[in-house]
Amino acid sequence: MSSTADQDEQQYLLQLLQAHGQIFLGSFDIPVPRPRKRRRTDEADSNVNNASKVEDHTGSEEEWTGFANDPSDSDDDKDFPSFDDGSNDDDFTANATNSHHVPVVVFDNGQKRTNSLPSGSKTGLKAFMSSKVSKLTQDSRGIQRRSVRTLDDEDEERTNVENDAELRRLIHTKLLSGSLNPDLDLKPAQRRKALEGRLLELAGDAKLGKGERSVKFAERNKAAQKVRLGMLAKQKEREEKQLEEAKNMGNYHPAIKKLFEPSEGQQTIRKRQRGLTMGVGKFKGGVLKLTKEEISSVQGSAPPRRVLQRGNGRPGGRRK
Amino acid sequence: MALSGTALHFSTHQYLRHRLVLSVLSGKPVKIDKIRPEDKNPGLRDYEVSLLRLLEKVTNGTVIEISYTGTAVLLKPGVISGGSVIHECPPSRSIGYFLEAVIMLAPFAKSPFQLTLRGITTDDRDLSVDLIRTVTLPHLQLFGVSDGLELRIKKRGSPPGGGGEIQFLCPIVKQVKTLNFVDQGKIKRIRGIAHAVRVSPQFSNRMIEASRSVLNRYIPDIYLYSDVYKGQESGKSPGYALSLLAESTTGALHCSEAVSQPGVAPEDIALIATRSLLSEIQKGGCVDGKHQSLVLLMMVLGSEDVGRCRMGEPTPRTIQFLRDVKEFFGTSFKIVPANPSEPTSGGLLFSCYGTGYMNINRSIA
Repeated sequence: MSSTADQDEQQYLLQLLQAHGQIFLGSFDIPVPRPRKRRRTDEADSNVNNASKVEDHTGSEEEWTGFANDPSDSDDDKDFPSFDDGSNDDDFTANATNSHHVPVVVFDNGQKRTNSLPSGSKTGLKAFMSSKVSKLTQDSRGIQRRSVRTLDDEDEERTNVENDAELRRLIHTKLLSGSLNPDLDLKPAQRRKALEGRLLELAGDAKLGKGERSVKFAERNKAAQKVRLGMLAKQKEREEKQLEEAKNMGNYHPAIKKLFEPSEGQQTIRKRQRGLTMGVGKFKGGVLKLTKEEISSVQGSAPPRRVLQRGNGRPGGRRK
Repeated sequence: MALSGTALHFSTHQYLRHRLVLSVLSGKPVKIDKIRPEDKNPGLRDYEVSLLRLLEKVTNGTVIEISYTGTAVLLKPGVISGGSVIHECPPSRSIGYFLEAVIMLAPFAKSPFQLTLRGITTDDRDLSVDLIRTVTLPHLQLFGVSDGLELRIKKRGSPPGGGGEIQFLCPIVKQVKTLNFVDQGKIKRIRGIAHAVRVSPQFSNRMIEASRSVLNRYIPDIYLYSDVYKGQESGKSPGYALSLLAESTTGALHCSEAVSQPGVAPEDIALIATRSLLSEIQKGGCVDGKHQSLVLLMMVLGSEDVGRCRMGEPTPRTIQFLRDVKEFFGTSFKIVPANPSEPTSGGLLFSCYGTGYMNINRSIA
């Protein structure tokens, strides 16, 4: 008696295992080998009686849901069959059982596991549990579309940014300051200037691509006044000509005005504020004038960006 | 009384809420009598009185007269003022009872609502705050009430002790949009919230497991969240509940919930909720039974255009609501089977001509 029960159970388990294995194989798009399938159906044939007893859907369901371990005591399973009957033949059952004797029902609980701990569950949870109703519905409409879009867009965005950075680096290290290249046959003085400029760039004293220029500028300052003025005049003339040419060629646009503006030197001159200062604002005509930013900066939460700007913008104030 | 001649007249305590709401919205006085005259304890219940008090708080100039025995009420509505209001709900009814009424009024207030309600957040008679947040308020979005619509569940409170607290924020609108919602779509996702307060937190996981055992075979996109409230936030009494909602491809929402009962396992509670969700879905339509009257009211108040919505069978409450709407606004609905080929299934198509209700209370900023 007990031995037959053992056999039943063993066979039942074996069937489950095989059905599960087929589902697993099915997920790889490999055609299921014939003999195996036949053997399985043979087995199903051989013990139709046993199997039909064991393969009650309720039983197999318990196997997988796991909250009603003891079939005898819980009354939940009484309710299951009503739902089972309708859904036996849908996708959730093992479709490999085309033998019309004993359907082996295997719930693919592997999928269930991944569902309960999905990768995007955190955002989903946040959106769903948010008190804001707009977020709640945004989740229902947006998230999937957004996730698809972000995959593409983010990739493109990132490669674009990377390419930009790469191009900029190339231009400034290879093309312009490529004056270090031995093939160019530079004179030693020129090479020295290029190298110094490059060093300044690397040290962060000069902006990328402006190193050599700043070296030349410093050197120029040593010249006599008359010469210096001449050089400045010439440079100005050259810049104007360049701008004119760019305009004629159609390369100019107000958006890139900065590129054609006279480079360093002139811009750094700042109008010094005369008279009394109160630390913040402008004192003019007996009135202390405060900008909105200045007011917000003393009212608690000032954005950090603002602080940085002040540090850079008003060195005089800081010195006091 | 000069006004009582023009006041609309109703009887019995049934449908008190939506009659009061319709009165406030339409500005027509309403007289309700024969409130439980044969009862051992005649007259208004404490929660009904509390609702009247809440209406008085959120409006300005409302006159409420309750007869000596409490079996008759006269309401002369004022303007809906909104603003920040705090209200204690009695433990005999959950917050949902009060909130449902307020949600109908809130978009038409003078200033945006900031309502704080304290009491029971989930019980078996009214919508729980979870469903109001996840289902009722999204329905308002169909009508263009969306920015700043918010429901914060600060504390949960189970019956009988209560001790929950919610905050409801609602923007104001000039006019609600006309609804045209006839495609019910197919269910694409199921969401749910299981919560358990002052009992083992494992209960919510057990409910989720049990509910999944039924739902998993229909669609794969099921997330059931377990919402944890601890300590002070968990109210005064123990309890747990599962609320479920199913959303279709077109955004139609169906919901159900089940609340803990003494001596019943959490799995059974979850199964009750799950079954009722399935039967709710079976009824079809773009709006589920509990939200029919809200959607129909908003359709009536919509701009002067034909609004259409597909729904399942109207509930008795909805039927009475439609009758009352006809009295207050003079609007009647055209109800036809959605697909004439098979009139018994496929739901009904409700269509009406909006009254073009403008929010006259709105402060011009």
